Amino acid sequence: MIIPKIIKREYKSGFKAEVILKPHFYQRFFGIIIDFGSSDPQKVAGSAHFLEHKLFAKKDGDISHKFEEIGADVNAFTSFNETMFYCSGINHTPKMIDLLFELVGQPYFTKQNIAKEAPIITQELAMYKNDPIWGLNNAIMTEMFGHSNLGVEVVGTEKSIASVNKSNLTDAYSKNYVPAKMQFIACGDFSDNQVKTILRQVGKLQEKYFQAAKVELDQKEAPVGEMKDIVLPVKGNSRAFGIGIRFENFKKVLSSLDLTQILLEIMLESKLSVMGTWFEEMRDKQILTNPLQISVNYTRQGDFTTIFGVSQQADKAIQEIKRELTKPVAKNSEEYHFLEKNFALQKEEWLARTVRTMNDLSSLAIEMIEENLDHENLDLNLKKLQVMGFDEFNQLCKQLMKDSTICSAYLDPDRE
Amino acid sequence: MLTTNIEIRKNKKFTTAVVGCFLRLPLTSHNLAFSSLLARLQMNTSLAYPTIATQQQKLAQLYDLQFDVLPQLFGKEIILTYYANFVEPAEILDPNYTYDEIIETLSQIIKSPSYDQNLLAYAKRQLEEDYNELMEQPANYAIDRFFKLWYRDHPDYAENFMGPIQEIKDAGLDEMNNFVSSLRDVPMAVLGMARDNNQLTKLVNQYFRGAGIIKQFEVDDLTIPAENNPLEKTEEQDNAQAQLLMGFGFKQKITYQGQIAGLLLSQYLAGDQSSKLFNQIREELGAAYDIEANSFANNNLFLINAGLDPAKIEDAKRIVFNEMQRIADGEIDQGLFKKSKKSLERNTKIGLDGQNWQLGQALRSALFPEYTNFDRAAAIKRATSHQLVDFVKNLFFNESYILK
Repeated sequence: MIIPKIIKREYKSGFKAEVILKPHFYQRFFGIIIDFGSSDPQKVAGSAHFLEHKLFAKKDGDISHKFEEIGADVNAFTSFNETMFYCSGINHTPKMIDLLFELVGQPYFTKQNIAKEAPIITQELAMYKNDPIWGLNNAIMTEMFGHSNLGVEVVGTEKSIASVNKSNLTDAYSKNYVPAKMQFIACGDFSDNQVKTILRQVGKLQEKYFQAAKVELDQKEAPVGEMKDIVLPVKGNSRAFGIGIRFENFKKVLSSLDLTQILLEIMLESKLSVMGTWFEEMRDKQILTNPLQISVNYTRQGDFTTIFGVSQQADKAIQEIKRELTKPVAKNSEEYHFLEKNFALQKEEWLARTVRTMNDLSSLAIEMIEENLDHENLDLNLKKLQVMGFDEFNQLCKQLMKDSTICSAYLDPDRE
Repeated sequence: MLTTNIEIRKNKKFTTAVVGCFLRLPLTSHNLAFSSLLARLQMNTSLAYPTIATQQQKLAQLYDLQFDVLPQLFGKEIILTYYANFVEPAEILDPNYTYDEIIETLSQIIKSPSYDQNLLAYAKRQLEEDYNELMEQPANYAIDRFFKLWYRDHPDYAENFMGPIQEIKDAGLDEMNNFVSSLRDVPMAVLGMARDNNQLTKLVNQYFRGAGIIKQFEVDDLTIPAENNPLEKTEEQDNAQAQLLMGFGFKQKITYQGQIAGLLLSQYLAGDQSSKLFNQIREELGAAYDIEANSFANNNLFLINAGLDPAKIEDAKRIVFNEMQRIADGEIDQGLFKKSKKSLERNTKIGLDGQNWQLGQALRSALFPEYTNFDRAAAIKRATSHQLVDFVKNLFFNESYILK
């Protein structure tokens, strides 16, 4: 596998930049990521996401229109610990970079434009709420992390959205949009000269827009929910269920959180795999039909897994999954050998997954900049995984799962 | 020498190769139901890999080969699609991982379905569960209802997810066997992209023999005419957000250049932040988070849909009608039209960076007459605002469906 060439730069202010070269691709992708997201400290839940929306407003109107004039596409997203603004197009590179910095670096918050945005974000929340799985996910996050910023929806609640104002947006912006918490990325087919020009331009722009400031260390908080098993009455007929696993040792076992995430995903995918005997049994008992959706996440506020599925016997499915995940696996048992064999396959799958990422410029750039922000090294982690033996993997997973707690929720149309 | 419907293009920049095997059959609700069911059966097992575990393991061993089977709808035709995306062997350098091994495995799975009563029952349960959960999402339910109403006099065209669920639930083993037998003679095309396209072409020729591969895959006209039969319907579910779908029919079938005008109209109305409906319904009215406008050329349908604040539906509808009328009257915002062209040019160029987009274009070239000679980029360049006006003048309002 050929890893793309990457050129990195760190400026005096602490602002970092990176250019990934992808020869023969037409798309040119540019992004700025900020080390601040929905679950980080903020006076009003949803402020990070509101900020993401409101930075598009400028004195002379919505800045997206200027991107459109040069044929560029612009967008943004907010996750638990990050906010990212990005644009892409096929030409006008200097102008795209200028506009991207103006977008992130020149806030224009007014009472009027904040009031105008609130109903739009409320409709975004309503769109999510229309999906029964959203209700399930929301309930599990609250069970794991209470009503903390991590425990509530990224966009906030109707109440919190309505209470966002100029003062708390300005406060969140000035504390977090500082050079040491920001990085720039470019990805595309650039010549050596273009790379130099881009890095020079970025140097000037970060100096123009962002003042070096002392980064306030966030108080470590580890919000805790009640970790209950709950039933959600629901109208309609959805039979979806979810499980949340809250880890206590996620950050204590390996130095790389990304590698930890990969190992846990492999372990969970293997134990609950459609290729395994456990799933076959669930299928035969008609407890499960389709594969489960597994996702492992780490944040500054807490580390967790969510598992979603559909079952006509959701309570039984939850019990069986819990049993499967917590029962010890005897060495040299049939299951032990299956997991061992599957680990070898999963290592190949991760290699293939990395090879595939190289084909999508936007995904590649976003993945790489997120890795940078977390001080991770994708290539190194992949190499460590490839040489890892099954016994080591097994031991690491046991340590990671130790002291973890499980909660669950399922939708019950019959109780509505 | 016989001409076959096989075309594997050279992969110049991607780390993965892609192969699509396409079977063409007429769209009927029966064919769609059985295509969906067969797709699920073949995703699970085959003669060479008779259990779900063995087939999944085989695909995983081929460096997580991504395999999908699904029926796609193109107007009056179903294209039963077998899609495979795999890491180029040169990226891995494993002597056991070769094009030969990959194509042989794919041909075994695609050409030799194998199932029994239990596997059929299981595939039916899978589809039923998917269908139930899909319909619990108001946006999906509304789309389903919209098309059922649009084609209320043509039930064969009315299904758009997987065919009638009752027919799927009632399907028997004999019926499935008959359906599989009927596929032996239908036109088939195998298209793809690989670094060593010559070797892959040879292998596809070797493994995908059959009557269908030499039959005419192209169809003279697969569009479904739109009948002028206006309808307005509202249903209540007490959802947090309402769904509004507004369908406009085409009076006359359009040309490829006309299709570009349709894409430009989608962009002009709802493609970017400054587009007309996005600006008026989201930014000014504060009624929605997102608005979509799509031109379904094969269905002679232009569809505008949005998730809306239930209290603002009528305002949103009025905005849509007013804007369509303004365009028909020739009141075009030239600045926005220019931006829309630029966006479409960008999307077309960036599409060339996507392997799936390229495979989709290859399929269209095989299916539509003269599509190979149609220069999409040039057509966007020469598109005028008059073409946009003509496109809208060719539309008639035919359906409004609201789900509250």
